[in-house]
Amino acid sequence: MKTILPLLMLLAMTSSASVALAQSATAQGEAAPSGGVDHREAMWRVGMGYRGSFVTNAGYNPFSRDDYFSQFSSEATRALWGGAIGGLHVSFATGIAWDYGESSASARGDAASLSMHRLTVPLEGRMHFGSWGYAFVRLAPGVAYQRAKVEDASSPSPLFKERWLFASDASAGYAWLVWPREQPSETKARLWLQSDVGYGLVAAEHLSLAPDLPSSDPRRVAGVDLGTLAMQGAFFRVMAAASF
Amino acid sequence: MNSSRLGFFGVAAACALSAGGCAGRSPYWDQPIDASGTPYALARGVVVVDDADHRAVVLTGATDQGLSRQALSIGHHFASAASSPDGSTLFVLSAGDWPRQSQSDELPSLTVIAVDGGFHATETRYTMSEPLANLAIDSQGKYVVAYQGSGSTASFAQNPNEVVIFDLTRPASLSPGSTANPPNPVARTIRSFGGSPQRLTFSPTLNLPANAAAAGVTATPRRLLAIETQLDVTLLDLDHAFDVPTPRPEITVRLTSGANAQTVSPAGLVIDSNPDDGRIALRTQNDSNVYTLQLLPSAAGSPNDFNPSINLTDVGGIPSDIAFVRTDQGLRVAALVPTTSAAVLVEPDTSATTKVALPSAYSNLSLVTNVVAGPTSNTDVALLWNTGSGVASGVALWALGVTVGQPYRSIEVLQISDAIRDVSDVPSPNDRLKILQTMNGGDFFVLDLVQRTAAPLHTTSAASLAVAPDGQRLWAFADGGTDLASIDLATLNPIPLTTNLPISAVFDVARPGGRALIAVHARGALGATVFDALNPDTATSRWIPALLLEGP
Repeated sequence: MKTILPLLMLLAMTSSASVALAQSATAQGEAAPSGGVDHREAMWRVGMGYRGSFVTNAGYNPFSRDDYFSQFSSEATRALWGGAIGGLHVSFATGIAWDYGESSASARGDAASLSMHRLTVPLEGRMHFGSWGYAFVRLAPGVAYQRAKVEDASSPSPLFKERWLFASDASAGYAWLVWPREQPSETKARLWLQSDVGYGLVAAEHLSLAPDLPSSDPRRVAGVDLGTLAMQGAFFRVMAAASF
Repeated sequence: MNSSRLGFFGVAAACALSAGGCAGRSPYWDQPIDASGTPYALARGVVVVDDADHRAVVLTGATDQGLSRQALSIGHHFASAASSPDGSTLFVLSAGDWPRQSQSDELPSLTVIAVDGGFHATETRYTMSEPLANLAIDSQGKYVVAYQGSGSTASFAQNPNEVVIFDLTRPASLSPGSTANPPNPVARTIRSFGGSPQRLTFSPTLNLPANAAAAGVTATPRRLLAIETQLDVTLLDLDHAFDVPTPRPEITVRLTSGANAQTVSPAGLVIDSNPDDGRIALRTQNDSNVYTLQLLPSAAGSPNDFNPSINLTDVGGIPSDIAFVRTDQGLRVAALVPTTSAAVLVEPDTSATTKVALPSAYSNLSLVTNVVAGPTSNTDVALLWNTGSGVASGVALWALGVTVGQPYRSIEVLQISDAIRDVSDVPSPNDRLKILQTMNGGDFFVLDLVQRTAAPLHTTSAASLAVAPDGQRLWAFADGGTDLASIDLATLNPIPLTTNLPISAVFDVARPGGRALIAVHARGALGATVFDALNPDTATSRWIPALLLEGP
């Protein structure tokens, strides 16, 4: 929880920050909002979707049959700055993102499962194309809470290990404005579809799994060494989002 | 570009971005663990065969009741395994990928696993041309022989008379080899008159032929392999089995005459330990004769320089056990004949017999001369007991120094209140002791051959016993239960212990700085509870789960 607090504070600061977006950001060939803010650029945005990761690290093998990790993905961002650079409308947004996924497989006949929460702060640079949406690049440092569990009949209780780890994503993608695409100066809800691809990184962890026994248990029980797990690899994400 | 191509390129791009590429899941994780196989004991560890993953996992003791794991590759499709008598080596026989369908499929093989004084395990692999199911181990550590015996392999057509001989002192060498580098192993198909190898016995070093000086020839030391089939006995000169280009042929001793349909099946043979005697004695399953062979010089031109001279001696009933013994009248073959409650001493040259009445129908015999009479004694002392009859006949010590003059005084009986199921030896320094397991399973006796005492011990349920290789203690455990006890063989004081999971086997092994008792639990990915064998205490034991589950 101590690790989450700074992130929540950052989100609160984001929401109260004054937005200094360009007042007349328009896409080429489109009418500029007359004296108003283009809410296709200066916006709050929340989204949720699906993230698929290709994890080829050998440490992931006990928990998956196909080197693939499915996750639910969500985020909330706020554009903090916008302007024109070299004739291009750009903006910078940040916020908070949460991904959650779990995978399970039979590891030599034992039930093995892995779950992971990933909490990151997306730092996103956007290049806007008016009603067509925007392209973005994103760097998202954060933390991951990883929990591995194996159930074996020779153990007094399931063998498990859980740990907070450093995590980070780097990706690029495109957000397409679905509806409504006009009246950019009006403050109204807008629907987006977006997709990005990139590379996700979670710090390597040595999987020394141990039985989950109470501290008062007098038995001396050894653990199991499943090697090193590094949940890293290419990923893609598709998401639906709403902006305000 | 259709959607499947798009998907392919998508995955390919993702793999390219992923460190290490798309390696896929290791097949190791898809192989379920079969924990029901019995582990194999070595002096410095326990070996668990993980056939699904084509490996053997060597478990060695560590400090604070820990276990170290070393995984070694073995051949595909495990067939059988056996430890060397000194516990230094495990021999693992594999059938390979048979029949082979590609160049990458493995040939049948023998993997030799050794654990050195530093508790480091190593492996050596020898390949064979045909899969075989059983192993015979040379107690002197030089040879191993693979044979089919009563086992079966996946081979469609099998040659049950083939034996494959491995010389463990030389590296593997492909056939046909050369004089300087003979092939290793060599495959031999023994001559058969209808039988196939059932039991194999390695001889001690013998100076052959016997009586060489009288015949004007020179005796040379060599080892023999005696092969019992269902019908006959074959003698194979191991020192000349690897000769290039032509090894010496085996000698077949036919026991069944072609005169009638009755067959005579060998039931066990013994070889005289005197290297100059060159004698072998044999008993059969269905014949009251004891067969004695002496390996005398052969006729000139014979491919072997010895030839067996055969004597048959009727002992009045089917013998249940035989041994070469030294009596006050010289070398004899002692044969126990339970149907007449007697032992018969056979003079091997003349077939003269001396019948010694026994107080009970003893069926088993073991020489205990070194313990009871001392190594300098010129005559033997034998321990007699009876198993399987269900009769409480105790054990008897048979002093062979007074067999001819007053044979009735040569037997000393120690009564045991229950029928004996099994007799276990205790290694030095407590080799004066024998462990007698009784038929009811819950009682056993510690027999002291010097004191002539039989101390009873009792367990509340049927117990399995394991004698520590250092001869200091006995372990008793309820097979499939959680009760375990260590019994100090000096004081016979039991120390009760317990485990959390049912015990399937226990192993007392050396570890750095002491000894460990590994109690194996055959469930899940195989578990174990490790005790300090020299100071056992449940409170200091360590439970180690999922021994076969680790990162490859």
